[in-house]
Amino acid sequence: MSRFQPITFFDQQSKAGSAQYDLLPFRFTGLGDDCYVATNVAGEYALMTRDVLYRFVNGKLQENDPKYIELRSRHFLSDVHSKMGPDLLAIKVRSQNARLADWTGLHIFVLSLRCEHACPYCQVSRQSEDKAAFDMSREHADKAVVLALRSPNKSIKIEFQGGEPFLNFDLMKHVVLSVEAANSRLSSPKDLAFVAATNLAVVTDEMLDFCAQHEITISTSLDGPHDLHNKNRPRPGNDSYQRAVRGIEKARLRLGRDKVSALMTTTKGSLSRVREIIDEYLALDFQGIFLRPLSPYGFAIKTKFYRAYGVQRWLQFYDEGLDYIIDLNKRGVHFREYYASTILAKMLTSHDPGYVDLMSPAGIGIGAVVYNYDGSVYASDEARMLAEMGDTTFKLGTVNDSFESLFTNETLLEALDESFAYSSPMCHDCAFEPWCGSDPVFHWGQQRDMVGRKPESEFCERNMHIFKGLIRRMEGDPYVRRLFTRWATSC
Amino acid sequence: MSQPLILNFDAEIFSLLAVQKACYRFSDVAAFEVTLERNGKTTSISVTATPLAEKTDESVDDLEHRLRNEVLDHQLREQIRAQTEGVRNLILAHAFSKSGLISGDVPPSSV
Repeated sequence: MSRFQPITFFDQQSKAGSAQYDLLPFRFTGLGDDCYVATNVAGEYALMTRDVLYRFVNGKLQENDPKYIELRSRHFLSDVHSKMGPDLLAIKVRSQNARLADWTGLHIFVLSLRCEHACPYCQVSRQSEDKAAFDMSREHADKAVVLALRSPNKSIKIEFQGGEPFLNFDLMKHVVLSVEAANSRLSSPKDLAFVAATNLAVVTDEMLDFCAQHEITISTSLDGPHDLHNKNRPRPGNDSYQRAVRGIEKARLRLGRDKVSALMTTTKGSLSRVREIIDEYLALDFQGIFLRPLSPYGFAIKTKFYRAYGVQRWLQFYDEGLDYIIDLNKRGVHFREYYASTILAKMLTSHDPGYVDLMSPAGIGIGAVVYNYDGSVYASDEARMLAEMGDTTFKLGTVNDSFESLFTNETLLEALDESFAYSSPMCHDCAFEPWCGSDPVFHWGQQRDMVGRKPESEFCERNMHIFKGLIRRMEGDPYVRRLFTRWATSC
Repeated sequence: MSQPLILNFDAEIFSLLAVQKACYRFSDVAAFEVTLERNGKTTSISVTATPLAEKTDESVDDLEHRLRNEVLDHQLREQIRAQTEGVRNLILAHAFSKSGLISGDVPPSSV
């Protein structure tokens, strides 16, 4: 039997004209200028005019219309020639959600709230010498290690957070050695990974040697050129930038170039300087940048840093930065924007990078969990930041509780259930839902509503703008399409 | 402050849900009251939109135009949902079968 259809099969197709087809499930949202973006259940997208959209839904699209062929190939319709469509969609949906069955992979240990920096936008840190009050105890750490390894996920990432976690380096060593020892005793040892979120100011050679020995990667803060960085991140001696750059160089030499990454935070002073910030990352030989707005928690609220600029102003900053990065690539400089890369992976592949803010069901608890310095357990990093403001809504319990009681905590289950974007008002009908998340902690913090009223949501406004901007850039320039596809497939 | 805007939608053509969803979409610029009005054999869905005090006239100027288009879009979405409900459930059931996420399922690793 031939593996190919006879030529008559294709003749019939081209002569058929008016087509008999079934719609496959999809959603649509206006993109402006009479253009709509439609996404199927697996998040594949297609653009169409209002006229095409109505003809398509009413069964009037002609089989020889190029849009018909595109919609069939992207699983928006099934006809006699594409009976596999629903099955392929199911496989893609299954791939995208495979992470759900793995349960919590990221376990954040807040080793100390102490920090020698006094960043006004910081969410939690304390300038204090009081180790007893703000350092995690060994007893709490041991219990947190047991909980982390109890997760069914085969890959466990332990992230050391602060304050400045290297101010409690003895405990960091203890946790790493304890986790490694306990893991080796498991019948099926897990894949372990460690990362330390540090300002690098107090890191010594001894600490870096330990990091190299145990493959602890470094995530540091770099806000831009030295004057901006030092203004944003004051410390005694006003030398945060110099220490960060020296630390990056030393860490790269000791751990390897790819083991050191940096994050920036946008302050009011950053807004007019996005090109300089990107140039700084280029000068320090980073491969990309994550353009991040301020988070609305902790001191950022108290010091009014969070309200120093609105969503629209930050989006201008983001757009200018993204266009500059695209321009750099056109000139042969390989550099990427990581938030865009994360979204593009969701838009253009069946792989979900698992970024906690863009998960639905929300990433709280099931994507990441936080063991705080005082032994309390929170559903996310933002949840413990909220707790520092006196709101312990997302506290799951303490390290003295069992794994089962922590993860069947009523608040967690309620937040996951209620905020599920697939069934949230407005999100349910939004074409961008397959790429977006629900972020109940953000919406609770902003609106005292875990689901969030999306017409007033800054989260929604920011992400909708970015989704639309990425589509417009891709559709308007074949080079950008190729570039974004490369970012998506290597995210 | 702008005057309340009153719009009517024929209940034979538009569903109450489509109108309610469209109103929710603009709840950041106006407060809405949605009522059913029966007039003999016909029923209409009446919407009274009161612009929020803090909103400028510019942001509510084209509210009528945008609301009418939004209702049309939601009506179309309902049509798509009705036409694709069966296959959507089939796809999701297939996607999550044997994942261990549904009670009674056997996870693939233990098959």
